[in-house]
Amino acid sequence: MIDRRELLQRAAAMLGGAVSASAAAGVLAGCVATPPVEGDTPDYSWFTPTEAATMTALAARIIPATDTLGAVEVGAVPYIDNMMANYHEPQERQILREGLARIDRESQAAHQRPFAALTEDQQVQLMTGWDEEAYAQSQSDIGKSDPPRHFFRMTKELTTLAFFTSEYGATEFLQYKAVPGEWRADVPYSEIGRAWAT
Amino acid sequence: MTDLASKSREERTFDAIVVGSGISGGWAAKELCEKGLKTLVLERGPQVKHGTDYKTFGHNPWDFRFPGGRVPQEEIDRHYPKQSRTGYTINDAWKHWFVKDDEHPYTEVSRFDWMRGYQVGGRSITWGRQSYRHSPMDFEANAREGVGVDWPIRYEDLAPWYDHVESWIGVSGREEGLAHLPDGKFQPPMAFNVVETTLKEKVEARFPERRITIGRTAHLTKPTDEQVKLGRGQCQNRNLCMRGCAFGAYFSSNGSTLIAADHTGNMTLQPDAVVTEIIFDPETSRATGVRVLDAETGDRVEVYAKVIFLCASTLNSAWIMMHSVSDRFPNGFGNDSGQLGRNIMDHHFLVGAQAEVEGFEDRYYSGRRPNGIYIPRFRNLGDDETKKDFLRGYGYQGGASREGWQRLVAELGFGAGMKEKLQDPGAWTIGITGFGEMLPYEDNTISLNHEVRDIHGLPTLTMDVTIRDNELAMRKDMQEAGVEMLEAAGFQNVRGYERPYAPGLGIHEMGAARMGRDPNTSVLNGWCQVHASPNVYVTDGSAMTSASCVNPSLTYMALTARAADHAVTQLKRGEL
Ligand SMILES: Cc1cc2nc3c(=O)[nH]c(=O)nc-3n(C[C@H](O)[C@H](O)[C@H](O)COP(=O)(O)OP(=O)(O)OC[C@H]3O[C@@H](n4cnc5c(N)ncnc54)[C@H](O)[C@@H]3O)c2cc1C
Repeated sequence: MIDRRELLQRAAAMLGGAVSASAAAGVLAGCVATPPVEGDTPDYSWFTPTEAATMTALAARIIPATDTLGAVEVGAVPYIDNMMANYHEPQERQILREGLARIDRESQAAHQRPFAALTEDQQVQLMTGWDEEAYAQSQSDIGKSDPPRHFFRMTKELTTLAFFTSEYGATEFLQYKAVPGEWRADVPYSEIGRAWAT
Repeated sequence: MTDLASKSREERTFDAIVVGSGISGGWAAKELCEKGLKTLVLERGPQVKHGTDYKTFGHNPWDFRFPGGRVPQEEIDRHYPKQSRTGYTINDAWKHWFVKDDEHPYTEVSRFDWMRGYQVGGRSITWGRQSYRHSPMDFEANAREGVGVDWPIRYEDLAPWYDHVESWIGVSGREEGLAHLPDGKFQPPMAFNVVETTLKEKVEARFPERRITIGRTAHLTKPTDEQVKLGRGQCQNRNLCMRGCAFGAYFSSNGSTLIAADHTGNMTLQPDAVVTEIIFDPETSRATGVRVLDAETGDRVEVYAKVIFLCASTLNSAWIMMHSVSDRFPNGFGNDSGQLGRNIMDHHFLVGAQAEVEGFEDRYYSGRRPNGIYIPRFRNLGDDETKKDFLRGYGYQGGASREGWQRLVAELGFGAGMKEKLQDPGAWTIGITGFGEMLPYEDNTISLNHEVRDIHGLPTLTMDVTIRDNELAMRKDMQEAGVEMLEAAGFQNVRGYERPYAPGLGIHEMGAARMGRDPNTSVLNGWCQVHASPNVYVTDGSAMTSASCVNPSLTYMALTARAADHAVTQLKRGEL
């Protein structure tokens, strides 16, 4: 039986979030998101070209480029492609694949165009609906032991993971020290300024 | 590959043989070599050279195949269905330190999680380094309560050896003056963060019998000259320890004991050498050596010595003994009592409490402390106030930290707003997990399984181990008392938790060849000698007569050093 906080924790744990000191050992490594080289057409092994275009639009809205780089700029899409091809379980692959198909179906129905061709506003509007649906599902999952995953939650997780474990995400957007040297147990946050990547 | 087979009998004869090069075997090797014995260390796994063989030591987070070093499910299903049960052991950063389950299977009557690695250094590379002494109370409990058999030794017997081991390995910790968690020889303690300090103040004010201290951990915070000379350095607070530490900042065999043993010139370290049997001479009632299987070539060879230290880890030392049958020992080596393979213990855990902490948003930390807080046992300390409806007790390990970038995935929202929020750390959270003592039950057993064979064609183990009413009652209290303390600290959303625990997952397996006073009811005597074959010492967790609730490895080290001293004295006297 799980409750809301447990769900939050599980979701965080799936991204390597530390819950307890003993679990912290599992949280220390990272990933392979590498920025696309200019002019390179990524060679996807799992995404179809249409799916890759949809995923690129989703990633760009979830963690957009602002005055700092966004998920797409740090290589989130090839990264997710690699994850789906080589890491995820068949069931999860199916959830994402069906989700991407549904995105285009609903986009066609609402705007007669594939999702990747919509304006940013139209994309955000549709995504807000799926986000609410995923959130509602997670609320109704409270108490269930092994709830199925929602495609939008998965997309959000994968994008977040790709961004914050990339070299840019970890070292420039956040900060990371390979060899901290000291343990300073109590420091004013103003002195540090940004969250640690790990 | 070993080259033992090509050597003459004389070249295969040593003063001492140590089986295993993990935490216990490394200590046996160092002590025996330093005391002048020509010592052969037999290790079933491959060589792991300190520093150079820690292949992920310098990896940045983004250098791994998959985020967090995660290993694809297919690979886990094929090779690590059991070794992955901790949730963190099978990771690209350190999975090479764990066995492949398909090569080294075992059978479970009920679920048993046997987490282990076969290589030079054993699990000294991956251990959590928490290091506590057993207390006088721990050595007396069995006799007082009529549980199992009495320990043949008392705290005073081991205390000087705890001193010796702690000073040498380096343990960082804080003196607390508690009778039930004796202080050791400590290097400077690591500091609490602001939320942990708050917990300490509030809990100690409310519950005078409870103490919150910093974890006692085998890390150098102020290396001694001797440690520096060995090539060891101060902890750099990376908290990537399980990869292996090229700084030598935490204690491992590879970075400490095996180096010291090697410096004496008395050690022959032989990797890829699986010990399959102890050779026994019924005429003299002494073991004469061991049989070795070359892990690579399958060649078999015998090696000989005057004294043998079994340090292959609890269940593997018992395996060697059970697999060593002869006319004299039809039920396994030294098993006149029938106690070999019984009384298997672990520490039960995965129960405790968690909370969110409002405030302190202006406080943070820098560095990654490879350690947490510790709450020593406060139940059944011998007075009425602390007495409960179960025997023994438990301690908690835990810590507080600020939430990271993972925290918003499960919330509503995405986009620039979410991104910006995640540039700052989240709220403080805190968690404590109890580690409870498990009683020795005679019918918690391991046995040889001749049907299921390992990669070398050798028989394997079947585990039949469960926790019982005493542990279940304790678990209830572990959760309640945890909640009570986080509430006393004034934290928010305090909630107890309990996850299914199966024996083994504490990775503190103990018992199987217990020490005792009476050869009819125990396998080893008070010096860890096999009653029926006194030149065989078994000094890993299999010797344990009861489990205490503290992490056990420091005690294995102290038992080993004490036994090595005894063995050398006895050898000189011609008594082995
Ligand atoms: C992730 C993790 C965290 C842990 N945290 C802590 C902690 O915080 N505190 C604590 O006290 N303990 C902790 N432990 C437990 C600790 O690692 C063990 O108690 C300790 O390593 C036991 O030492 P050992 O020498 O008996 O066995 P090991 O270190 O396992 O070494 C045994 C060696 O013997 C070799 N061997 C086995 N069979 C044979 C054979 N037939 N022939 C030749 N060689 C053989 C093995 O390959 C191995 O190298 C932890 C363990 C793990 C995995």
